[in-house]
Amino acid sequence: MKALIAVMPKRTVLDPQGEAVKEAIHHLGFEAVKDARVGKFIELKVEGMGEAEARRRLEVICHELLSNPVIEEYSLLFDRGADGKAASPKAGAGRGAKGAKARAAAKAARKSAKSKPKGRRARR
Amino acid sequence: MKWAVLQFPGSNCDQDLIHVLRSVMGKDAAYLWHKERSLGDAEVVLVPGGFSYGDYLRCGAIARFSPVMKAVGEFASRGGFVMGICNGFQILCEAGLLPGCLIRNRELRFVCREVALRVENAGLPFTGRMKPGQVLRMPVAHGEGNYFADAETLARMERGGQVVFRYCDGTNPNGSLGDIAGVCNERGNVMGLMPHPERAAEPILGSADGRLIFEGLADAVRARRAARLSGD
Repeated sequence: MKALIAVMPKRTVLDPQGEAVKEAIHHLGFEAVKDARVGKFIELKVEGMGEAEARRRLEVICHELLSNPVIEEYSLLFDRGADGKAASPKAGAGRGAKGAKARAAAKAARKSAKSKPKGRRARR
Repeated sequence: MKWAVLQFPGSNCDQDLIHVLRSVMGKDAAYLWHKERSLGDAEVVLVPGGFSYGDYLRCGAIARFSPVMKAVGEFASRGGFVMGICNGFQILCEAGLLPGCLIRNRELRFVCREVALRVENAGLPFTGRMKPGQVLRMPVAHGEGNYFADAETLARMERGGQVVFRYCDGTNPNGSLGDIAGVCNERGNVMGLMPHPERAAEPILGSADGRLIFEGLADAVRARRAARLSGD
């Protein structure tokens, strides 16, 4: 199975890359784009364990290595591939996240992460 | 080896540091490869600038997992002096030895020029040769030097004197919160800064202000040795 991890800058952190991308989009003539955030998308191939255990271990990997909880949030979901089932929507927000605002941001990050793998599959 | 200069794949200010320590300061200094598990007889650990592991993932994120960093963590928890410069600062933040994080410069550009730094905390082993408010000139050279910490952490750091250096008014080169250029841990034995004191330790290079940091550290090492000998 594949683990799909999206790492996004927290809302409270200035994202100069996102700002620059938004400006470039405006130069392209799409003024309707009001905000852009730039993050990372990471695919990991995982074998030899069930999803529950993989999730437990990957949460540690996401927290310790793939994201920096000071500035970033991550979302984690699984793509089981050939069985045709949708990726698991259950995602772990950054554990460092506190408060309703952070939870809402995490939820938004999860939502955006969820749409990515679907898009990728559709293009294949 | 009393002064250890760590080397990661991609470190590129390690030789500058060794030059300053040996030729300018007359110290017993040596390189320490990132795969080492022991710091030997080191009394000071310096984490140099550069692009460890090509800045992959995040600056300092991979270097943090090198075997030597476990030893550095233990050394720091015993009160050993650790200083990270530029990428070394980023590595110490990623390792959790320093609070906060360094993100992309606000203007998205690599900034390479001399800056003026104000000394905020002159009571540290690293700043013992300085006066509060003293202004030092040193170069910066980085693309990710924009210091960030959440508001709560920042307030705690300000209260605890953990902001060591600030860019002087109007000269912040990267958008750092509070114009922060260098910070230390709560105990004051681990410090990181974005400017390069090793590139400003000889008058021929335009400024010898950086030398004050190495001299302060040397004083602190001497004081610690003396305390040990007297059985303190």
